[in-house]
Amino acid sequence: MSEPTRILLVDDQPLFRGAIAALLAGQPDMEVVGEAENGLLGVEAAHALRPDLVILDVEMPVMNGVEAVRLIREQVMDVKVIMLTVSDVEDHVLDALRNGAHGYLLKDLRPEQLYDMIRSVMRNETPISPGVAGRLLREIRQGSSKPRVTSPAAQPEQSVTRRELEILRLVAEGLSNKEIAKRLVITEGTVKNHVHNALEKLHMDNRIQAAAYVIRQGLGAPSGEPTGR
Amino acid sequence: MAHETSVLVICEHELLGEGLAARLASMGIQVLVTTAHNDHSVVLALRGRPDVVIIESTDPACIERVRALSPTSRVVDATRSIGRGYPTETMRFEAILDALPVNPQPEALA
Repeated sequence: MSEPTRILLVDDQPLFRGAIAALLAGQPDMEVVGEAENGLLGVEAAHALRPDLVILDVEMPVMNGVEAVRLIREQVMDVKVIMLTVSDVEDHVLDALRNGAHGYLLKDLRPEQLYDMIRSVMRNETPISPGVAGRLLREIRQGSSKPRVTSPAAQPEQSVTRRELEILRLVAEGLSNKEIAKRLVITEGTVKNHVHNALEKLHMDNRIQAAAYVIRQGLGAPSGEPTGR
Repeated sequence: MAHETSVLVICEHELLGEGLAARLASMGIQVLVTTAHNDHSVVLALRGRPDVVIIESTDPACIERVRALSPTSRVVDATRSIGRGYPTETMRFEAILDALPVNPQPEALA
């Protein structure tokens, strides 16, 4: 049997933190190795404990989760980070994902959903709460009203090919590789390669970050092209 | 026959409610969890007159209902332990233990 996933919990509410720890204690493939009550202590604990996964609240005193995820991802190797919060504020979602979060979950999940999403992030997937995903997709469909130039690559067209950008747009629409392949009449493997290459060029870890990037940069489909599914 | 302590958790967030239940159950305390929006379930659960009712609900009518239907229950309001922002006061698990009619065995708290 493989080693359990070592988890660090960071949340300013001790009652909630303890509740999550008690739930995870009942899962044989998960082990809570530490707890912290704010982002700064969370970063320190991540350094000291080297967990496999950090579960981070967003709104916390001293240092919020959005800043903490950036520092953890910069400073701690091979750690996954999931945001677990009541905040579905778009800026929080996008900033957390851009800062390296591997998933964004809301606290209205059922316990079984949380377990599933923890397991999925450890399989290198990027779980997003359904409510948050819906908001992201709405923003994509409406077009970004707040384009920013804060991405790792300021002029992506200089590094990302037109085909890669086209595929990233479809990723941002929420399409799977299979769906993108069908739409562009190419193989799924080709899509996977394009996504992989684009992520490398943009110094991103996953497709959710890429989706956030497309939204932030206002790189959605040009007018006249369909943006819905 | 010794009275077995019973706790009812009425919650809006199942992660909190089920997690508290897991913690209390590990101490041998009988716990029932119901979601705050399920009125029928809440009323049924209160018929059992639990010793302690933990409430995590932003609806003020929830506490009133508990007090009306199970006036002997001790009420612990855990609503502020989850939500937007961060309150200056934090609620700890010990507040729930303090509300129990019989404190659990010390080793259970370790």
